[in-house]
Amino acid sequence: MPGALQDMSIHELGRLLRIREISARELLTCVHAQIEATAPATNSFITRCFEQSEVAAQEADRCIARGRVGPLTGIPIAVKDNICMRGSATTCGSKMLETFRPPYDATVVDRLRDGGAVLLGKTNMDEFAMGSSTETSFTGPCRNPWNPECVAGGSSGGSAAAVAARQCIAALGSDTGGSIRQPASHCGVVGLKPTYGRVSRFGLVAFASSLDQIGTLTRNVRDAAIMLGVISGHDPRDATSAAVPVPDFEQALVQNIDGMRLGIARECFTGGLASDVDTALQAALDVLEGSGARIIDIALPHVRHALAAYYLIAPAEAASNLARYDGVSCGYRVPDARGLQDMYTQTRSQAFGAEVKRRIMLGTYALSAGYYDAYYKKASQVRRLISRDFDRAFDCCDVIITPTVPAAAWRIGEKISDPLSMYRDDVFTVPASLAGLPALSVPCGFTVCGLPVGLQMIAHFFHEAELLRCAHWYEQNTEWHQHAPQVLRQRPGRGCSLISPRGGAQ
Amino acid sequence: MKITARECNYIAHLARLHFSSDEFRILTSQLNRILEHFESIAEIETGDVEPLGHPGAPSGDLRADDPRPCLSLPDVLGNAPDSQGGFFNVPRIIED
Repeated sequence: MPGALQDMSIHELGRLLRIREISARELLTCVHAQIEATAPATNSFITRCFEQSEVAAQEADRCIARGRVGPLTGIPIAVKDNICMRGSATTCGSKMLETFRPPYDATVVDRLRDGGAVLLGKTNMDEFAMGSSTETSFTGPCRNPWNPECVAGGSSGGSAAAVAARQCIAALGSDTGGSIRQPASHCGVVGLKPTYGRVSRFGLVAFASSLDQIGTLTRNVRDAAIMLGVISGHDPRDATSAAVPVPDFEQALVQNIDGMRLGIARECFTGGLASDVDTALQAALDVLEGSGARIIDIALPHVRHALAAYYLIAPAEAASNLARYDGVSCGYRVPDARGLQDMYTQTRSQAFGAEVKRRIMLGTYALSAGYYDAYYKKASQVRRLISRDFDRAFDCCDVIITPTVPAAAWRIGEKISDPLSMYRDDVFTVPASLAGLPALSVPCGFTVCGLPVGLQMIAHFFHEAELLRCAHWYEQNTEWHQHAPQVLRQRPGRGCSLISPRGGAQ
Repeated sequence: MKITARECNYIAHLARLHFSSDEFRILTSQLNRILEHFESIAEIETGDVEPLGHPGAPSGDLRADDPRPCLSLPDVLGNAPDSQGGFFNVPRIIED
């Protein structure tokens, strides 16, 4: 449905808002109608902040009238439900935090508000961000807009599905082992995980603190650059936030990729890669090479152990971080406990779901006396070796190219009782997470079943500008990002304002 | 078999989790499958490689230790399942 406001990019909408051809309220009305029409099919939102977003849109229109326009003024944006918004439910997809109302805003939420964004609500996610399908949410699974019988990916599945289904213009997600990039691939949108430290995590509910990073889900690379510019920067409230300059990411898109060195570690792709993903990858490499980039073979010899290292380190950190949920200071408490210890145990056993409990058990085991050296320490040493592999690789290339996922989205329920098969879907995304490197997924094709697949690009520390430049150039020479999913072809005619020939919304 | 049912029981105690006997049987089996699959890292020669706890170079850039406003008491206690007189209320810890 070309011309509908909710189909447009931040860049296009920003221009229309600034010249007052549309108002923030008109745009919000379109997005709200789209949510009403399609969100029940995707289950992408846990909480909708309709009233607050109306107030924010009115304020955006007042700011525009006064000429005080920020990079996101009037743009409707959704936020993953593990990022704190003062006074709004922040459940992390868990019964444990069903009643939690944060008394403060996360730094990224502050920055979105300062940038003029209109915050729509909180998106569905795997419980405490533990999962690759957004099926472990206590509110039920999020469905893929391209095929509602399939998963949206995870854990930021709600954000990815909402962006793909035009229920928001952009969204925030969090990525611990691929939780932005993998659902972006499965939903056919752009998912960006910045460098560890680029974006403050103050106000992000912790899962694995040495891996967690907030990032963006958008429908194109330019919108990712705009969003990243708004949320980046040092924050004294996050000790891991880096005091490094924030470049003009949008300006970086102007340059071409002539001479850019793209590294391919072919040994990483052996086995387990679906044929249509492999075909899309090879076609993408041809496009990039045809644009002047040089394809260079690189070696990442320890990356094949990344999945094992990740699934020992991340659960260990999760077991530690989730120890705080004991029924005392916030969240669920079991009624009628027989003493304090019973209250702790029954509260945690009743309020955590199966996957969270499985990872707490795995992590507690990896950290326990007698097993620490064999599991957690060993995995952290392997993590160092993987990081060194990347350091050496970036001596001879600028960006590393891989598939984002080994195969497209699977059917809901297909892997839920086989955790190991679910974990394997993260095989291409966890290496950059372990090393703390910036990485993104950009749409690069469709399977024969019509499901999208993504191309992953990884850059060196704080080189997001190169990453975005490469992805933007690829995007401009392909048309994958212009496709719209199934749920939109079924949407009713109401609620989708069109731009009139004279430019005003109608 | 990496984890025995006895060890699984002990880990559940450490994690303050309770499982039914059916849940325990499934969980023990799943944990063993996962650990056996990831056992490959034991084969990697790591010698005296320094473990990597956090990616990137530590900044060492700590803020000044100056007192600043913090959350108000109502904000802190607002999410508590039970509070009384400005404190978190919990079941009795020391029995009579």
